[in-house]
Amino acid sequence: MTTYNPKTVTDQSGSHDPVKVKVRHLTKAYDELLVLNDISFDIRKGELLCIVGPTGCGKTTFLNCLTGFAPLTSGEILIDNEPGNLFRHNIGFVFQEPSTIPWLKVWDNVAFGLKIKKLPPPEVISRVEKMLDTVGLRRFVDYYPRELSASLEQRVALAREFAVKPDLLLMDEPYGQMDIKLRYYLEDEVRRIQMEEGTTVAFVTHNIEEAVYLADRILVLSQKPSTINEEVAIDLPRPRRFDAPEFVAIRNHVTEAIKWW
Amino acid sequence: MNSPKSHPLLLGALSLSVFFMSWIILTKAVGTKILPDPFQVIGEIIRLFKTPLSGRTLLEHVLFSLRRVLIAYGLAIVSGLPLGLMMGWSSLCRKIIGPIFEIFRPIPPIAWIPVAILWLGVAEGSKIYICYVGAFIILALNSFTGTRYVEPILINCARVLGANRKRLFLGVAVPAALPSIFAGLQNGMSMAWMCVLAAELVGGREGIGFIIIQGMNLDRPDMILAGMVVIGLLGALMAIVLRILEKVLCPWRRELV
Amino acid sequence: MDDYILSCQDLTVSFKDSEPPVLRGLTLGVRENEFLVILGPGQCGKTVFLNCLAGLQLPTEGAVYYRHNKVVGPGRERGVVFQKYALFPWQTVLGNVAWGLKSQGVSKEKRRAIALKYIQLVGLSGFENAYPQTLSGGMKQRVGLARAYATGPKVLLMDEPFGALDAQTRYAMENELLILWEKEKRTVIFVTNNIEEAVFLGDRVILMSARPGRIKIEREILIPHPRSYTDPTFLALRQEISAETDLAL
Repeated sequence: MTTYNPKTVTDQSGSHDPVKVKVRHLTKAYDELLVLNDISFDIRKGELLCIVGPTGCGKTTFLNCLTGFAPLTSGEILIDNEPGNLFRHNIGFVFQEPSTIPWLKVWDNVAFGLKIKKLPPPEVISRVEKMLDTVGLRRFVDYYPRELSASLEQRVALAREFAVKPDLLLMDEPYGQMDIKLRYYLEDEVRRIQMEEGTTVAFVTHNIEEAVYLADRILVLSQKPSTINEEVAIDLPRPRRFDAPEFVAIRNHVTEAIKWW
Repeated sequence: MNSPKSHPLLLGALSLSVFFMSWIILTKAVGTKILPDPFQVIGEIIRLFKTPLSGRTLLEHVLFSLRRVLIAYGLAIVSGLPLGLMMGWSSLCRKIIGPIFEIFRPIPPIAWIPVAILWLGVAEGSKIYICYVGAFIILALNSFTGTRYVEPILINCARVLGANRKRLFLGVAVPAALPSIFAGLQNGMSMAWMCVLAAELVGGREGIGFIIIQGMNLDRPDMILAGMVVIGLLGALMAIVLRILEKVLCPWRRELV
Repeated sequence: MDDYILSCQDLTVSFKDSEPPVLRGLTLGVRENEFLVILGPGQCGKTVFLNCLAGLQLPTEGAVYYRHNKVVGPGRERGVVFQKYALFPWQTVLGNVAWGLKSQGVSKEKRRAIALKYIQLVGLSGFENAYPQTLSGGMKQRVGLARAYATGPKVLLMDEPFGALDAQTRYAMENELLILWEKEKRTVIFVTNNIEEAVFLGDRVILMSARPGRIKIEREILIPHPRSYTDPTFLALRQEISAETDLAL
């Protein structure tokens, strides 16, 4: 059995990639309940960062703080060295629950973000068509979201966010409902789009295998009130295999770090 | 910043005082002849309690209206609820009764006033009938939609657990429809009040509607407003009673708040 | 046919004549006290298949048999655990678990005793009087399990019972389901789209193809319990089944 010796990342100054998101002393409390406790870290440009932690550790709160949906109790979050702003920064979200727009057909759902950004119509069409093929929604362009299964609906939301080519993409357990085959397929797609467009991705998941498969680096959160338990850099070659001994070793290591059961 | 818990009370008190202040200012602007101030209205309510109007005190007038509303409401519950439930549950019922119901549904209860008076006279019968029509339609409609949209998975689950058709209805469809039924009970109650007022405005020598009409005839805006305030208070009181009843009968809904 | 507790013969289900059938020609036998997993990608008709076994859906062609009797509707020998929990929101945990016993005409004290036993078995003691909406997803499905067990069925049909749970809660529930199953052996037919879950739980895995649903391959899983998610044989079997699975785009 291969054992894994973690290279704990403490100093990011060694990297030459510029910082995309800078989080300093992030603290978030709801009334008396302290959810996030003094968290500091960076996300580098073009990096795919996975955030894992035990059930109920405040991962979603964490993302909500990043997006600015939840006000911080203290600390700060800087995107490109300025406070995050949904209008200035091109941020995309994919939530746990599919967030499609019920009165729009699939095609218009995918085009939604592009139209908001007032892209020229030919560009809208070409991007939508490309995304539809990528996520396999070609047959469903004329359906309304309620006519789709949960996993199809989630793919509509994915396509909509990918289409606008955000430079920061935040994903909250987006593949929870899908079968593993489809999951790996869409994980590969996230990776491909991320490489092609240089997107920075923060990906929250409960699934450790998924995190090890996707991430350049994993942030392991502790039980509430959450702090960063550990940062694990993953330099396995890609495509990664979930049954490779090194892969399994990292997976076991992260599972141990979470210590949930 | 205040803690969130103190907000609702504080805001409620604030909005009420702003309301009364504006009322008083408005009274100052237009004169008490047109708009009496709140104190005059309260004074008028107290006066009506002591001095009979057309031979009856305010309490007696209230009881007249209340009696009409409650009789009509009771009749609407015993007829409207079962009808709605049956229509929601059995497609046969739906097909037979549905079309007739659809024709009668859009007719406003007030449109029944002339025929009701023609058929039942100006006495109690016509007034109760109008209230009944109003509440009945709403109660039937709400219990219908409630049963109609029971989650199919719950029905399937009950079937797998061995429920027969009777238990599917009483043990699944009815409790699942209860929240919708209670919404109907609330709206039906408001409708019954609305109708009793309309009926009393048209004819009759007793009831809150009569007080309001008297106020108009005597050019006494304070009397009109007194009648309106009494209705508002009664309506709010009954809504609270229903809400308490809902909490007792649907304890699982309490957990949602 | 004789050894099977539940079986189906040439099962075909189509909803619209214009579309290809959801299930086509499924023939399958389930042994007594077997833990059988039906694995398939999204939209392959797994739920429809399970509904046929439960008697909630009648096949277009073919038939389902419980021992030698043709299934024409739900029956007390077959219990179901639903994907979305399907708990009665107006009943407490105790009320939910005891619900099916009432239909069987069991006396009130006995209903209570049986329900309490299964509530304890799934680890929900102390929550008897809680309403479902106050429970977490994992706890809700424990109630679902207890409720299905309580009526004493011979066969338990489970329709992606852990599909809506997060990965960590799911691992915990999978472990607990096996413990429960060891204590009270039943025939289990467990539907899932999760290969890892299938290999962890099953004595045998049936892999279905994408629509129209047919049996693609069948594997006996001989890895002894307790199984480890990261054991090399486990991962190898997962890889092998994964390679056979259709990508349902």
